[in-house]
Amino acid sequence: MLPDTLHTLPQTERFAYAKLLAHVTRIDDELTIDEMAVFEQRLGTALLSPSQRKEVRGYLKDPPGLEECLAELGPVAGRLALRDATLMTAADGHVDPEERVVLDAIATHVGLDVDVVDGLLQWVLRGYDWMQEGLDLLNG
Amino acid sequence: MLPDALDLLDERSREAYIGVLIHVAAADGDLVREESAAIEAAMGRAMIRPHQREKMRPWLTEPVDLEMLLGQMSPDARRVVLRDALVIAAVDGDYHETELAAIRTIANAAGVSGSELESLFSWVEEGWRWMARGRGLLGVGLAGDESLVG
Repeated sequence: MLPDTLHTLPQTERFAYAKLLAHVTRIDDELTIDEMAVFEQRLGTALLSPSQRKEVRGYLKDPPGLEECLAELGPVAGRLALRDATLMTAADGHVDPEERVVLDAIATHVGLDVDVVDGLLQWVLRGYDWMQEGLDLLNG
Repeated sequence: MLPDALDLLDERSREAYIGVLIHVAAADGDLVREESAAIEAAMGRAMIRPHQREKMRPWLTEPVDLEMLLGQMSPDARRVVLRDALVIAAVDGDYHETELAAIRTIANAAGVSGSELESLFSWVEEGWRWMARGRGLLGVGLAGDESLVG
């Protein structure tokens, strides 16, 4: 994942973004090391304060409800959260039905058609290809 | 999330990895918010412990010697950090000459040829295009995204 515009948003928006990703990370009720690393990466990108990070990490143990998360999200943070939630849920190669329901709910909340989620899933696949190309270059 | 060779590095290499990225980010003498966000993201992705992050943040103003850091890294780790140094150097919009000098030092240490380095630069550019396409899907494009996507 490359750096992006998240850091330009107000702190409350960045916190709401991270809170939603905590919810998404726990949809399947599991938390792998890989998922934790990605979640920590996104927390870093959000430039949250140490106390906010601690609070958000607490949401991994006690996930907030989706409606609560969505209610605190502004339009831009919500769209970036949709993108990054799609990246996270598609990490294992497929999106479970319950994950898709959440992605569609986020899309609807931020005023996007659910077809956008399909476009994002294609975009994620392209990202996988791009990362693999980078690894191939490193491996000579 | 996307698979990454970073996951295969040991803790010592991952800490040196962050040190190198900080060195590159600070190389032009001007640490912008984009670079801070990228460094914090890298620390998170590398699963650096919070107390260790606290020790590393001063490196942003007092970077650790690049050669020393590279000496602490395995050959694989040097190649991984080269790739991510290119990304870090590009986040403020351009490659500064001092950043390029640091990148060339890393490339030499990693045994990466000039042509391989050029391929990595092209790969980073493609990554920016990929990100711009993602923003385009969401309707949150940035100035310049249209020219990136073509």
